[in-house]
Amino acid sequence: MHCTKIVIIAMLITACTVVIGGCWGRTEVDDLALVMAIGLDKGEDNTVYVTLQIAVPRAVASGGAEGGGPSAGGGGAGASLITTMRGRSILGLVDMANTYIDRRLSFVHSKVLIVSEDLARQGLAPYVSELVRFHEIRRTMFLAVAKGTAREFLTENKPVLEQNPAKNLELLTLASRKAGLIPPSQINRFLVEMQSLAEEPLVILAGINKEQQSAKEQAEKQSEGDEKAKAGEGNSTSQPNIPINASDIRYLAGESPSIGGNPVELLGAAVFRGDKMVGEITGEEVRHVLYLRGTFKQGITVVRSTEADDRFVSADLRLARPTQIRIERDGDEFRIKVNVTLEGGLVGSQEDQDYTNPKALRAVEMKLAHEVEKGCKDIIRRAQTEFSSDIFGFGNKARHLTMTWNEWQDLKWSEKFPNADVKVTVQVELRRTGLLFKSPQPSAD
Amino acid sequence: MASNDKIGTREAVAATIYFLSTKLLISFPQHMAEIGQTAAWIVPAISFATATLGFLVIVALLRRYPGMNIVEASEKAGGPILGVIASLGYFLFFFATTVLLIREFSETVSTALLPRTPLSVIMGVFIIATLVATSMGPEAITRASLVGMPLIIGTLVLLNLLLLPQSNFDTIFPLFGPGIGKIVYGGVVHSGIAGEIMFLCIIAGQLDERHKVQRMGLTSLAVSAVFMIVSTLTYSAVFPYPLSLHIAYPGYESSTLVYMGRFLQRIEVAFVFLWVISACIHLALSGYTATVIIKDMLKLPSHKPLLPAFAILGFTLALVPSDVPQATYIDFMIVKTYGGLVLFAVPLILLLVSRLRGDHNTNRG
Repeated sequence: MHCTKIVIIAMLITACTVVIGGCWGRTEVDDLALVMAIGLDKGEDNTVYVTLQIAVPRAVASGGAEGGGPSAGGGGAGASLITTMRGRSILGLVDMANTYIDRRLSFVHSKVLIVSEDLARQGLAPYVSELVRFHEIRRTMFLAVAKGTAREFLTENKPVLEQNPAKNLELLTLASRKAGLIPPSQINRFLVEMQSLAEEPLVILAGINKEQQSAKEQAEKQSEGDEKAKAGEGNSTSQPNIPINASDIRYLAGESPSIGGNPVELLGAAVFRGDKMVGEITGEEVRHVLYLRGTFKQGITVVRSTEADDRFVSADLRLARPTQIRIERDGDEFRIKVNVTLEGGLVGSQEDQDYTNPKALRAVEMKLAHEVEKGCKDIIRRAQTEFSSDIFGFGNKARHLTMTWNEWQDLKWSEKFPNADVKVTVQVELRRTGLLFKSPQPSAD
Repeated sequence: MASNDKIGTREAVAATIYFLSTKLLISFPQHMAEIGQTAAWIVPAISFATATLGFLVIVALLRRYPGMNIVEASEKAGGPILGVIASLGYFLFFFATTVLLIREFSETVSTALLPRTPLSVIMGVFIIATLVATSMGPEAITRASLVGMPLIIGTLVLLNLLLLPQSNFDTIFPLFGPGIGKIVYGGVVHSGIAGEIMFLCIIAGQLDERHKVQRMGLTSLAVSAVFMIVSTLTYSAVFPYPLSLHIAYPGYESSTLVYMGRFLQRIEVAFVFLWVISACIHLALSGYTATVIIKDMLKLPSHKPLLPAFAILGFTLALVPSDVPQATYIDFMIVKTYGGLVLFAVPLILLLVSRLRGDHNTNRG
């Protein structure tokens, strides 16, 4: 009996070590090709172009000096391999890719799903649904809409500071999000908002900087020996002529006033109604949406000085308390009152002001509040008239007005939102003046 | 016919909480959303309240027959025929629960973690673990439950906290989902989701402090109800209705959503490890309960000779549902629906019969 027990225990331990160790489905790490980003472009005849950005581990480890392949790009020179296929189903092409990629494709570390604007306008539901059913795809993957094609975005992505393509894509998304110039946009959030009767999706907008491209073309011309352009213009033309907008953050992806560095950028957002893209908004407008949603983290807001039109004041603001949204119903009419309270401190000022004087600080607060309020009203007007899309999630508060799901469905919020009367009040409280109370000025002489 | 194993009060409460709460790790929240829509979290509250009433009826029946467990008390109160039918009902509930849980847990592991491993191998591992634990007896299983209790409490609390950034509690409105009437009906009819409370009455004969069975049961029900309600509420806030209907493995999917920046993400592996341990303990508890009912019905001295037969039967029956949706449908829409009727209504009938007959056991056990 004692012997039998020992034999049974020994058999169990052996079975456990073999089975629990995962020998059945084992895959060595160096057998895997880790897909970092998936790009989707619209093809003809209901087909889709699938672009995969695959990390080249050896090149990542050696700082991008090695590797590459059919189309190297992203994550430093040759740190990733970019390949594009055309077919009818995204996952159907995965096996096809393995006919020319020697490692098994794995999506467990995929960070970003980038779709082209064309495909986004056609509707994303079939493709996103196809992907999230697959166990290797994480719902925390970021979702972005590329102006132009997704393939172009991935091939043009040439990070300078970061060699690891996965880290580059994640950092890029997180950095812009922290500043409130792109919305939080993960696949799960898109699915939630896409199906919701109370709110609509807002997705990161991605683009390739036009200034970068024109500067590149100019540099090429110069290298060809265009002496006239070089000699005749003097110092005034040595500075690139970068067109700017009325606000420093009122830009869409691909239009930012910058040259140098990585040409790809994430800025602004694509506005959706259901699963279809219906428009795009600038980085500044995204920030106003985030104020209204109550999800704004922190960012620098610049306003014109109250004393001189060519002077500017910068304040680092954050939400002082969650944005308050109240909805009242009067028959088929809805009145929405939104109260945004921001607080923060001055971080830069070109004014000649003594901020120890409460009036001076109060004037800046009033100016900031006025600008933010105006911005909020403008984006609400656009959302109501141009997009007919509740990207603010006001509908989530309208849900409170009903008791049952049928009542809520019958309310048809998407039809009521464009006619709702929305009133926004913004308060700004500046707590700090930065490292100075008063701006240093040159002597009178 | 109780075994020599003695079960302490804390161990019994821990095991019952395990038994009642582990179903959160499979498709439970999704089924609550099917019944309660945006009011999914109210359904377990009503089900647990109904189950509490049912449990008090069972305790009242047990009190008439001191020293006996519910199987023996049912036979005594209902006579050989009604008693055996009642016990067979209890057995079917626990055996079906074991079989379907083996399939559901195995499918979760197969889909989410080990897609290349054959399902039969994963099921086989679960069955071997259940077999070993069950053969060790109730004392070992309940002690393992007590040791493992911080794990399940810790993971549930941590998961709910980590999911807060992904939650939007506005989505639990409209508050009454399909309407108050439908929620109450759904909650009462699905009281079987707390049917495992019967476990305490089946091991009643082995409890150290048998006289505290009512308090143990109420404590277990209260703690488990809080877990179920809070977790379903969080699930409804993370996956709002109607998205909540589409998630096949809510516990696993929720854990994959944890994203607190670059350094705190992909933590589901830690949860899954603990959940597999919880699943094994749950399966051991339900497997033990099912075999011990048959042991008492057949008046056998030990449940151990039954184990190999039940293991093979369980393995075979677990493969009968043709797909995952069918397995979860049978579990929640049949077993957990009609199970409540068997577990709580039958003892009520037996109690009434016993009272009418003026029947009770005078032996103080």
